[in-house]
Amino acid sequence: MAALNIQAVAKRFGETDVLKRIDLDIRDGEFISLVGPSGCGKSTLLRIVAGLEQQTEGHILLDGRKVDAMRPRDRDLAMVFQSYALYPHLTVAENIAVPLTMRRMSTLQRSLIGKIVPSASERRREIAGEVAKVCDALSINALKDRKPAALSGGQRQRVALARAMVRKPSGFLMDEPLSNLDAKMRVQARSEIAALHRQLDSTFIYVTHDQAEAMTMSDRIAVMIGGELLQVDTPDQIYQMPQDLRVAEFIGSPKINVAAVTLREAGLLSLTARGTTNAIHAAFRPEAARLTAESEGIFCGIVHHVENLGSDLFVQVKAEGIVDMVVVRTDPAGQRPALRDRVGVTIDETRLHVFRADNRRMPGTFRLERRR
Amino acid sequence: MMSVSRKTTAALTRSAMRHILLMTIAAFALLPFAVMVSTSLKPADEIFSDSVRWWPHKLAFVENYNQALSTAPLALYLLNGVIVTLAIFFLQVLVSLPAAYALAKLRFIGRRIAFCFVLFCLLIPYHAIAVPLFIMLYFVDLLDSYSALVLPFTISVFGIFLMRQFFMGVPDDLVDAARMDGLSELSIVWRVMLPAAIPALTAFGVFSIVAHWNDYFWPLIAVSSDGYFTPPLGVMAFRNAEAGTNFGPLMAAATIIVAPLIALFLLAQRRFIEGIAFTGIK
Repeated sequence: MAALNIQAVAKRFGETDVLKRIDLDIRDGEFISLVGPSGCGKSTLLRIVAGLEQQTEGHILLDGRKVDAMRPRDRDLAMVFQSYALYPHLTVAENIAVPLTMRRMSTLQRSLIGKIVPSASERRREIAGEVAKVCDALSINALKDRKPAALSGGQRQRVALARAMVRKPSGFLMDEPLSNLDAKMRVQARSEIAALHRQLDSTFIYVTHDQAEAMTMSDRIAVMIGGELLQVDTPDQIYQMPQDLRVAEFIGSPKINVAAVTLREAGLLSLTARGTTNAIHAAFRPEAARLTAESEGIFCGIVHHVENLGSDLFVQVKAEGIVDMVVVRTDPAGQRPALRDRVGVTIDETRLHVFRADNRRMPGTFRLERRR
Repeated sequence: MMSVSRKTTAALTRSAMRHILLMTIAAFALLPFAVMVSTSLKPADEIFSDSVRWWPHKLAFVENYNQALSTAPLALYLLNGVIVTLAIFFLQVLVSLPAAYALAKLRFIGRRIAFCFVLFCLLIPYHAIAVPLFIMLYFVDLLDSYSALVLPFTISVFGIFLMRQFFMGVPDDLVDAARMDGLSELSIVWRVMLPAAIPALTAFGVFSIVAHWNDYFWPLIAVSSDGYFTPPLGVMAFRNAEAGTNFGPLMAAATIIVAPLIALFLLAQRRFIEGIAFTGIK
């Protein structure tokens, strides 16, 4: 088991900064997700941790030891790839055995004449036993003699996991391991990976662009955008206390509502049209807003669209001159607004987030001025 | 109903026409081989008769083939051919696979230039460098040996180019996974890339083996003692017979020499079609 420290790691490809001095401490046994839009540098960071890529600056520490000059195989980390990267010419059992044979058997024992080298067959039996154990744990015993080409996406993903697990590494690196699965499989695999983490009690670093995966599985989430680490926090904190407007906008579905505001006096905000640069922004989640009668809302608008998810009803309200679109969550059992109704919207001010022009959170409590 | 049957008839006619055309072309290509096999079965007096006849009046199979195998040490020449072509192919694979891997998957300064050199070398016909090669082998005193037949062909730029193009299509993740699993760069070449490249390697193998089995030019220059003769040189033994060319046994010898190539091609053909698709990793 390993704790991992990423110290001021930067990566440049020519002129472009892919990573801008990332600092991140990961505790032993923690499940941490690196989440961000594609191209934010999260995969590059993972590959630097793995040793597959060299950082331009900074250090990687595993259990307090600097591993910058260490080859991937010596870092004792296992990686699961998005494409699974199974060896197409080997069977499932042989695929899973590779990390063990490469570490435990000498070149001579692995070679063609390996069968007659003393202790090779004993070693082989021992490895086969461990492979069988992992196959049991992931219930892929029936697939052991198949080639990867004969497996479904979900099965390949399990084999890739098994290959990573088999040598009991001190940490797992996962690069979007679920993104090649269909939506249903993904939800199932999500809980399986979370269960695996609890059972193995080992450090997981999980890269994804899907905020739902990050929210559901992680102990902590690290949100990366544009090569910067914007916030590292528990899923609850990330969702309820975003420290940066971009974090607020990235996490949560449907997206958080954002409106430009001007600060009038101590804590009093008034909504203005978005688009003005250097503006302060107020943001609130769809569940922090409520539909009211036209006269009681903080502002009014016209119902533009209603999305019914069965459990929730998301009402899109167009409020002219204030925000292009506000999404409000309501209970489908309650009264449903009709299209083109004029409605009022009130906002729970304790759940209002305010961000400065540089996107950082502005501390304090705020009230919204009613707009007539 | 009428229109359906008419349509199928039309399709059948068109397909028949296509096949007739293709068979005509194939027949022309195969004609010299047919003449070769036919001649190898004829006694001397029938070969020069003025009427075309595929099957001889008097079958001279035993005589011709017997003479072919006894006049010259044909078995030795065939063995030489096997030794030389296999040695060449083995060494070509040994050199071109790591080179192709480096060009396709490793990042190093000068990679593009190195690849440009490979492309440039593809343009050089080997006849053009035959004389310098000969002189170099003379200086290291290797002329008239197996080494003289094998060494000049161990670095195949065509092989490097072909395998590099194939390796470009192998996903980077597979290489990275191998690195994480603890394989060294060289083990990646032999344990991951080689098995993945079997179809391309088969194609290259057929090119290489056919080219060097049939090569007449270089062995003629490089070796002089007939203990090192390759099959094409061996066939010439029949031409130089003092009593004029003896075509029956000559053709019999030629047939014996191409037979292994045809067998090899038929075996490899199935491999070509099979191929190992990358379905397992995408």
